[in-house]
Amino acid sequence: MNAAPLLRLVLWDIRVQARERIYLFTAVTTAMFMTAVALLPGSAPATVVTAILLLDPAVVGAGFVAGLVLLERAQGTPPALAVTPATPADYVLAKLATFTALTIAGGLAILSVAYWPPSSPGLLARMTLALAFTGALSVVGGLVMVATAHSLNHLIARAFPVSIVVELPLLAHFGVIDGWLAWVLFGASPGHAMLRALLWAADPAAVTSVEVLYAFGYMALLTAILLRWALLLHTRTVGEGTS
Amino acid sequence: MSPLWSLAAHDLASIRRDQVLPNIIGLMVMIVAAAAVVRALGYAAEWWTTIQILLLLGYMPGMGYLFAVLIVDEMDSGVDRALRVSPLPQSHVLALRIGMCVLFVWSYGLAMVLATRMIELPLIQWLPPLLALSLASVWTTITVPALSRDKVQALGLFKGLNLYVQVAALYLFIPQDAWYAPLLLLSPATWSVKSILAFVDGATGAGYLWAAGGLVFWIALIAVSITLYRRRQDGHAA
Repeated sequence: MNAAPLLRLVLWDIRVQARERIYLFTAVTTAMFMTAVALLPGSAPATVVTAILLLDPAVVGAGFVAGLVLLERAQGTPPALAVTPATPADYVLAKLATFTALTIAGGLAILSVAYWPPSSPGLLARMTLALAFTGALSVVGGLVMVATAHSLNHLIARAFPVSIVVELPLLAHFGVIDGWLAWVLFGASPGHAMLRALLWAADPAAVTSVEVLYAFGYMALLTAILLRWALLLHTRTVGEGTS
Repeated sequence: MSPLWSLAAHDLASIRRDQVLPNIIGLMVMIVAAAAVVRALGYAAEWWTTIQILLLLGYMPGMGYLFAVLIVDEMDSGVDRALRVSPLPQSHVLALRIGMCVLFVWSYGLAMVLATRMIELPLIQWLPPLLALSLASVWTTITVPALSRDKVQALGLFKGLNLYVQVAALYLFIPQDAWYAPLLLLSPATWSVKSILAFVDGATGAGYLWAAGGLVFWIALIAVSITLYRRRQDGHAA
């Protein structure tokens, strides 16, 4: 992999995302979430703030990356990409880098309201790490979902059940379902790992070290599998564009 | 078949395409079934009012987005230009989409509250706040294509519109006498929430008034969106 095309694609993606007002929309929705967090009573537990993060800010890249790929496909970007030195891996990694960065920025903005002034220097580092994992996982998930989607409607049809699976672990997060049953029902859901990681970042004492290992290990495993899958699928898309 | 029915059939075929409709209806049925089971088992009874209102708020803008995507797709593919030279007046096309959206969302809302019975109100008291809430879908349906240029912008805009409706849920969790509580009335969805809560408290008159206020508020927002949408269409045609 050559770093120069990747860097150029990252810069190009940033320009496209700005042109498509993705940053504006994210700023608006982040501001709304920040307002909601600011209105929470001071006694609101970390579970509430982390649940708000899972609702959108921690997975903001999934929808946007999918929409952007659909748009680029309609505009003929994959065939154009095929005649440049950039590889399909550059294409995927550029999106992974930019949208993960967007996830971290949005999440930290909300965090700054929830924990102002920052209570510990470790909080920022932990939350950056957790958001990097949730952001990367959601971006590669979006890339896989959109790779074979025919239209935005098709994408929505796929995204609905996925979002339910990701958000159902909120039941365990708030203690509605707990103990072994929570792990049986939600252990395989990426949402459960995301919530454990975010909760650890906000309040390390609320999560056991085994749960932390599970959360980051599972997210890393899923991200690696989905990234590999996304690379295969998008390589095929670019290949079709050249034929 | 009249042109209007043809368009309605085309819209339904578009929504059915790619398994969107079966997936969404399947999920809707599952949500109602899960809520009905929780209710039947008597589980978390102190949360029933909150759960019911959250369920109602949760799906309204989403359904509107589905219809909005239809219009954005038409704009992308040029079908909207074909519609403009068809015998169908543009106002009828818009009215059809609004009518289908309200019919689908309002009837599902009614089915949901009657099936789950987490909040037990007479049907006549459910109708006004649910009608007002169903206009959230109509507003989304028209505002998304009125303001977005393509699918990515449609997606981003929907997030903002969705939050504008969902923010009403905060009203269920904040102190009612907090200084910022009236700020939530900037979203007409909060008016429907207040209407349902008033009916629950037995304040029938207040319930109807809040619902009526919400209806007027939504209609004003929809009127603005229709103006923007038509201006945009006229701009494309020029």
